[in-house]
Amino acid sequence: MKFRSDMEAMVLASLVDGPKHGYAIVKAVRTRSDDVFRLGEAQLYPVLHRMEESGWVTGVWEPVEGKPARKVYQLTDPGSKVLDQKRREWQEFSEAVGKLMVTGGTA
Amino acid sequence: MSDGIETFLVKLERDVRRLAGRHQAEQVVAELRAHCDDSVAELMAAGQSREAAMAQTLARLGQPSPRDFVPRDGAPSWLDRSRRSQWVFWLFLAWGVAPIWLIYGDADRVVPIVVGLAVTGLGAFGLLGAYGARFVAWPLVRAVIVWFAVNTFLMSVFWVDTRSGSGPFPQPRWVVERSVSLKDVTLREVKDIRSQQREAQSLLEYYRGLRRTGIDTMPSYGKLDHGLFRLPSPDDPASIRSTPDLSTARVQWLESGSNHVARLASWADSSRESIERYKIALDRPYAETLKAMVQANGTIVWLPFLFALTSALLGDMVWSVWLKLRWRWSRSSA
Repeated sequence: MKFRSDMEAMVLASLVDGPKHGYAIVKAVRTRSDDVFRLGEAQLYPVLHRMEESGWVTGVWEPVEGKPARKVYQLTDPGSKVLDQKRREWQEFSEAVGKLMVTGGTA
Repeated sequence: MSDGIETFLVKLERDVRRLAGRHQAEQVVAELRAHCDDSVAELMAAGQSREAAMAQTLARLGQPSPRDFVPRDGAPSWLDRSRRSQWVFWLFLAWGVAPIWLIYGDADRVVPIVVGLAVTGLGAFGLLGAYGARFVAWPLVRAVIVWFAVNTFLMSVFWVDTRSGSGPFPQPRWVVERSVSLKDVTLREVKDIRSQQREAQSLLEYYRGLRRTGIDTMPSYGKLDHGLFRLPSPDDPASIRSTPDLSTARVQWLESGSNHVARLASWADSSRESIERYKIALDRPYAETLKAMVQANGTIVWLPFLFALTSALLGDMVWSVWLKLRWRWSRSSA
């Protein structure tokens, strides 16, 4: 089974509904997972940079009035394909674990 | 921004700059600064005090390793940018310091050692430079500084300053001591030979006189019965006496010996000068020797540095050309 605890998958999923900067990604993951997943906040940025190098996301600096500029990340087509692949892997993984846990519990 | 967050960002920027360059460090810190700004604003909006919001933001950042912020450039993991600087540093120290000691330890093999080091350096620094010469340059500068300090100290302890017009480099102490000892012995021998030469000279005149008069007789061996002026065996005076041109042979033989002694004497004169210089060097105070080694290392430290840097630049250039060619081939074949 390929799927593991995958920060890249969570970041890609958080960008599906539009471009976001780093802190917004952290918030999206936290909110959508009902505060179950808490990303290591400083650790997020190396992951975003790797994904940018791989071409899964693009990052653009945007100036903000009276505040530091933010780098906003957007999902690319290759990134969407990777996300689809990760979703399929997760589906297989969760189904397999579900079956194992249910049948294992009743044996 | 609180002192804690600012300290964190400044330290991270310094570490990332060291590993991945100024541009990458500035990008990382700019993103994290914006992140902290948003986080503090949100926590304060939720009712926290500024100090509490900053403390919580700092805690949420965690303790990232600066190595995580080093971009990948296609190098294998054991040669990624963060490790590459360590490779360059230690490789340069091993490759740069060793030759000086190797060459003086085995002076007969200077050429193969230098050629071997040149080939090794070209290959190793060329390979490291292929992933970006700029990531080689700074570790090289650091290695040069360390090399200068370490090598200067070691040489000031184990080497002596024998520099002169004829010998531009300092030499290891043990080499100079052995040289002084050997030359001292040789000079004593030359002194003995010179005393023999004076006797030989009078004998030479004697034989020349005999040759002129045509009268031959037994030589007076005396003290000349040894060393360079040993004459034909005195055990058989009859054979000597019966030799037709014995005087001429003796004259030639003695002249040849005299010439040899003259050459030895000339060598001894120059050796005596270098021995005096070596003895002064061996007895020189440490501070003076240290100063000399600082000068010597300052003169030679640039050569391996420039060689390693040039190798890295060549590696970078060759690899860039190769990537471009490969890209063109792949496009033309597609």
